[in-house]
Amino acid sequence: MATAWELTGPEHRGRYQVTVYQEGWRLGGKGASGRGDNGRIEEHGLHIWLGFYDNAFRMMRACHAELDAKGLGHLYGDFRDAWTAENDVALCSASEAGGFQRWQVHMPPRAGYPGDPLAPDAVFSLQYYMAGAFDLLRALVLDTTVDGQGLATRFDKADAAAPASPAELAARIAELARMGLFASAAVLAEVLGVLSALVRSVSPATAGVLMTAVDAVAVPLRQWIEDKVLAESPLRFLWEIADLTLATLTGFLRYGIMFDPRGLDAIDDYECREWMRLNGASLRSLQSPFLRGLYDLSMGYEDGDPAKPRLSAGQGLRGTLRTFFGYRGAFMWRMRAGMGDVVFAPLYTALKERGVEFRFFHRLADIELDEAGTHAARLRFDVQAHITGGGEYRPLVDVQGRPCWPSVPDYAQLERGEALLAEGRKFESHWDRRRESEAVLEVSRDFDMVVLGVGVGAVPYCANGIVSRDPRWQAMCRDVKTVASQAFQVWLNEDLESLGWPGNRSANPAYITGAFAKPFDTWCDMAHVVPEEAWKRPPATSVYFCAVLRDPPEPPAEGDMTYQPARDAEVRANAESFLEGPVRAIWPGAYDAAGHFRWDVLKADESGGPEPEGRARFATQYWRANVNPSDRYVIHTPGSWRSRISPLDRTYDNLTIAGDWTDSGFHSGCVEGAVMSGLLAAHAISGAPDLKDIIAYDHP
Amino acid sequence: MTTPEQHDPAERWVRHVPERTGPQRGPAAAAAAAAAAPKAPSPAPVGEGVRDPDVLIVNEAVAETVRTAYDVLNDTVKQGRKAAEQFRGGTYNVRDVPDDVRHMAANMLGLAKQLSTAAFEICETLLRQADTLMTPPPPGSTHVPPFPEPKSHPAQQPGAQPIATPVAPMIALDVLFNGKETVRAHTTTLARPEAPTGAAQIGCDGLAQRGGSAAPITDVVFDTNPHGPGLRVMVTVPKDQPAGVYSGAVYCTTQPLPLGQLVIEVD
Repeated sequence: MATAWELTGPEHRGRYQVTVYQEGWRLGGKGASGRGDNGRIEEHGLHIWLGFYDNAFRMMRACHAELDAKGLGHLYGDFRDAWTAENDVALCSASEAGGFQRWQVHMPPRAGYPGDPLAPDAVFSLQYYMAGAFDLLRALVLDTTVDGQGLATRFDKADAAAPASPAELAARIAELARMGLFASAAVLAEVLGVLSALVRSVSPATAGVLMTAVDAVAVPLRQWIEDKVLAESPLRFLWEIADLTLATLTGFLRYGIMFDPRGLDAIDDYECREWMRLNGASLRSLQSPFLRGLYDLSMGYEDGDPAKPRLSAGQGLRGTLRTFFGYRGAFMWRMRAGMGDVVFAPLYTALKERGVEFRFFHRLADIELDEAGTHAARLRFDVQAHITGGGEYRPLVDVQGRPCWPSVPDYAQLERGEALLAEGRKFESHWDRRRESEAVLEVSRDFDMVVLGVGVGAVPYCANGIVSRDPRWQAMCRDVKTVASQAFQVWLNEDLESLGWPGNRSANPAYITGAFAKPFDTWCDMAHVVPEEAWKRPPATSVYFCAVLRDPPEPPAEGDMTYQPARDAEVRANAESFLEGPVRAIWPGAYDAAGHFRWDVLKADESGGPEPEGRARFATQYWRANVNPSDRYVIHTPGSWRSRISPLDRTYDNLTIAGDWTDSGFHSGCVEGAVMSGLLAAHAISGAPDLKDIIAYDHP
Repeated sequence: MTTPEQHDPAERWVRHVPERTGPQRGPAAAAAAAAAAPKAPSPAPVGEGVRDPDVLIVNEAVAETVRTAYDVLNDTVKQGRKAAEQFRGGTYNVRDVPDDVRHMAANMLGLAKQLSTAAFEICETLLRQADTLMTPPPPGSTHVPPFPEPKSHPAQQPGAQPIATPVAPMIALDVLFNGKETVRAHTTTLARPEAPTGAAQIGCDGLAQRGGSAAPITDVVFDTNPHGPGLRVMVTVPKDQPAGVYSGAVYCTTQPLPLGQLVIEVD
């Protein structure tokens, strides 16, 4: 979509005629969502936009502005209404007493919005990040509170405030004298301040000096961490972050990353936790809820196996640095409705206005190269359905006055629609290969350029003509790993506060919570999307859960139509057991006096029929197994960056690729990586946008 | 996609050649400077007579820190002398005491920051040129265990606080053994110390046999548990240790009361 958006921008003055071929009935791939019964939103999983998604936000802001300029602004509203700022994050960690402890983090809001033009002097340098990290550590040392008072600043603050009596001052001095920690805190704060200033002028010659200095700081600080952990567990979370930050800084210096032309790719052959361990991080920190939350959010488990956390160090740190130091406006942004509604519906509408054509129900079957293997000569599509009367499929439906994607196709628009419905066609299932006909496009006759924008898991199945003869594409398909994921959504008759989640929404905003129990380690209160749905009697809230889904030892056979339903059933069973088990730790009010989950807390649909009782009531909720090759989530395992291919690669002179699995400059599975890749694909074809205008493409 | 502009249908349209095919991740300015600069010999460590401008920056910054520390010291001494002179001259008013004490206390605070032993040690470290960087181990050579799976949680009644209180009254204790193999532990928790306490500050004088006269087990070493919350203790039991129940009080240096009893059983 990003490529189509760029190529049809006004600066090209209609030079490119773009046609989008899409399997099934909706756009978005693994970001697609649909509206089900009662207009409820049904997602592939939990989608959150981070505050550093500058390229993605810039595109969406331009999209909203263009629709508004064309008199269509009322359809989707202002982009500021489409995303909700979120600065509160919660992590759960195993408690010594059993159950979980909740760690709450409030990230300070920052000026501006993601996608705003960068300041002219803005640079993505590791020196900048390091200075920021030292400042962060210094703030931790100074601001960490014990019994509500800062450790190192309590005296300063008291001194600066109202005059204290000599007796009070004497008492405080005596208190400080007793506090062996105080001197350490003050000294560490001072030294970190000096380091923060020094690092701005760091060079290869001084890097070694700094490394030794950081080590010197790290040793007492780590000792302090360990001391604090034993007696004051509330501080554990902060200090684990401090420990990981120190390890990162030490590694930056030790490995000379700031001066390496490869940037963070220089350490991308290391596993992230291994690299931090090499640079002094404690095992405790490496198993902290903070780090586990990052792995959970990134679904960084090879084969979907929680026993195999594997994320590459370079991209892991790049993502973390961008996340914590690069956000604007808010740390995270939640979409007002489904991702399909907020992102792909406006894009579809705007692209249609620009003249882009869409061919739904076209599944790419193969890309055939010419004999010399220099270019794409032929594209083969399975036509899954024909549109009645040969017209154009109209994919959107109206929900609460907004155009939305439905969860199922509109069979009334399809030839043999009733028959296709009766046959149970699964247009988005990889294993349902049934088709109505085949379409073949020839180069020069039907197309000039091709942008392959499927998920990497689907590449071997839709571009076999290339993969079978190109070792680089083989390596890409082999080394750029993906994981299956599982998700479920529940609509609740009671809000989370009633169920026992601490705090109310006004005092403690809804959280995205990570590092929770397997198999659904990440969840989010989505009460804010309920008003967008079309309930007669709206539920109190809805909650989305998601996590990785472990792969079977052997992949399913091609054409195995039982695989998807079996995995869906597995996810349902996981979800039901999860509600009966680990959820007790966070929503105790959802259980009756006998300790059983109150299934009637789930809101049934409003079809008017008898409402199922007991466990059977879960059938009225939503769940899915994202096992389709194209739906699998892309992760960055150590060394995989070498096998990524850039959209700028010109091995094939009329073909480029787009997706978060390419060498986009940002190798995480996310919207930002996909949009950056789309911009690169547009550049590969048209020379625009300028590579310097792709924000953070040249990030270390 | 096609180009609406006129082009020869017989001539296939091809992509232009991009200026580059990957991101420029290195520090561009530094790279350009390095490319432009003549090849210089490896920098020699400071202290061998070589004057490196970057090192000078470091030295100056550290020197400034030390100078500030002495300024604070001088100010404090001056203020004390001034107060003493005023006192001798009979012009010192008791109402000035709170302000002076506060001022001096603030100076002392700054002094503590600047002059502590740790500060000077780190400053010395800054001044020392570390020209030997470790050769890092190759990727995959260091094993890090996966994230621990949370323990199953106890059932809670509706209305109960769902989240554990921040500070648990007890800390978990993982008892490990070395030496004799037929040993098991009967202690799983200890009281949490009342003040910040390092693992090295926790100890046990020895485990004495209950109802017997066997030699006590004295090799008992506490450490933080790297695999989870709490402590771990390594008890070395000699191969010839007689069977029986052994116990001993666990103390820490930060409080007089013991944290509990460590009890093991030797078969």
